[in-house]
Amino acid sequence: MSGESQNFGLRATQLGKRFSSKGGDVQALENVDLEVKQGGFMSIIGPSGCGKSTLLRAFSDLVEPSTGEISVNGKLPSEARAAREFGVVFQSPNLLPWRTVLRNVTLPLQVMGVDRQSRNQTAQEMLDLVGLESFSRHHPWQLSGGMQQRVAIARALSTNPSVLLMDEPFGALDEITRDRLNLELMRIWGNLSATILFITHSITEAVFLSSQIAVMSSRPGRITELIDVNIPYPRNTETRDLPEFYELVIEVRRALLEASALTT
Amino acid sequence: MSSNNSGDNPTLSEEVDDSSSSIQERLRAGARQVLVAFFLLVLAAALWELAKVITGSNDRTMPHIWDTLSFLGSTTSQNENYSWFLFKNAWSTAKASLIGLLVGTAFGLVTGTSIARSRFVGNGLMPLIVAAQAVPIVAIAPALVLWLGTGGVTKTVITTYLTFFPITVATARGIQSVPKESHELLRTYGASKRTSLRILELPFASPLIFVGLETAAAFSVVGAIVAELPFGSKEGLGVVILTSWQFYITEPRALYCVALTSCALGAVFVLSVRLMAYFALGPRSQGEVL
Ligand SMILES: Nc1ncnc2c1ncn2[C@@H]1O[C@H](COP(=O)(O)OP(=O)(O)OP(=O)(O)O)[C@@H](O)[C@H]1O
Ligand SMILES: [Mg+2]
Repeated sequence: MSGESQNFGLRATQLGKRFSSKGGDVQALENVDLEVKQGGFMSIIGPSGCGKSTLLRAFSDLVEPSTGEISVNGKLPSEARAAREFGVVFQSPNLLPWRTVLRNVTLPLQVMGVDRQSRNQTAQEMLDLVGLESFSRHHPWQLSGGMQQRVAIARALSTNPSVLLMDEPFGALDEITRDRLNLELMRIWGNLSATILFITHSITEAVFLSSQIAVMSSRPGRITELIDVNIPYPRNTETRDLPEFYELVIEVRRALLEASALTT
Repeated sequence: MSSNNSGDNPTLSEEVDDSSSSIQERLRAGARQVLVAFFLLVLAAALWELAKVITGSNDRTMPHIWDTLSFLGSTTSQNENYSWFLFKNAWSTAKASLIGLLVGTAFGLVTGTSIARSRFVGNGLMPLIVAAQAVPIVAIAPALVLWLGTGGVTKTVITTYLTFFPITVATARGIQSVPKESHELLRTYGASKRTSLRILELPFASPLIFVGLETAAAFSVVGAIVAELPFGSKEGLGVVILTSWQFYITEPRALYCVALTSCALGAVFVLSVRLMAYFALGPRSQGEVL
């Protein structure tokens, strides 16, 4: 917990992860160096199977690194988890179908032992934030996929985390809905100033949201390029029409192609 | 077992547009089921009468439905109304069934959970439990009676033994099929094993557990009756069945009446479980979700 690393919301140094299985070993990550400043928005983009989820899962203490070091707010992931410093949004909404929307959002607080009244109040505020205040009594199956993902975001925000780890949260949505949720995420992030690690397959999404984009190649998974997105926040619908936006999209596409070319 | 649907926030009076669970709709569905059940009963009675005509059975071996039912109004040698006599014995059987069902359910939940949680326990215990299930309880019931007496203990042991199995299997299967992502979700919030059992595993498994409970409820009645059959028991439907066998030649209707009562008791048990499931699970009891 040195003073220097305190400034990083997320940090990985020489991170490596090797999965051993009967079919042979897989080097999912190798020599990954990644630094996200507190309050920064880092997107990770790369070909399928390059280790993006593994990296995110290492930060969320769901995967043990084989080599290297990793920290969340200067702490070990397990410590950060114990201190409830991060929230995770999975690729699927991952809601519990027998619980109402409100009670899905209160879940983390219930686990933490927060009393019913204050957890309901917090959850209601989070639902306001994602624009689902009138759906608190619905069940997940009564919502569209986009609404379910917003509930998942509200749930991740309910513990007021300083770090948000999001694994392709909008991957299953159509482009219009995705654009809308991107805008919403920008608005929410503006209010929270959390550190965000965001995995995506969409180049435009990455450019629109991030302050920095890490491009990965696969086998072994490593970061091949870091691209700064120097478009000032707050970003809005017009951002997508800026010439810088197009230039960055082209640059990321090129980096992605090069990364894929490294993969055989 | 499922505190899940208690509704955290009954004061929030927002409209729920879930039309499938409106009260009227539910009542109508319930009424429809009762109607179907009634229709099936009438059909069964009609088939009985038809079989009687086709096989040319006499009224002694196959009494008319109405004759059998009228016997319910007769008086026993103890100068008691026969229906009341049946009810008293059914009540005694029901109590024994319920105790066995509760004990068996408790054991089953604990065993099922341990099996699901630990591969070691699962691999060791599951074959044993399955093997134990193959023991013909009717055959060993007399031995148990000799050993434990004709009292409530024997009844409880036998009904527990019978109800324990379906609950164990349902609980283990239910918990084992909780999706990995749900476990990971709780893990990221540092949920303890107990918390995740309460918040995730048991609620997830509860539709299956209720199915197991339905089977167990039927078994519990059978178990209690079997426990009452050996000579020496004093009350219960099993005892009445035994005495009715002895008088079958002179009065076959008594046996049919007690058989019908046993069926009715079983039905009451199973339907009660179904009703509980309906209230505890809502639409999930219908398999609409998951
Ligand atoms: N638990 C595991 N056991 C064994 N191998 C694994 C495990 N998890 C991931 N892998 C392997 O590690 C590699 C990276 O997987 P990962 O899920 O991180 O990819 P990804 O970049 O998220 O892909 P996608 O974009 O398709 O989600 C893959 O080759 C995968 O097979
Ligand atoms: Mg992935």
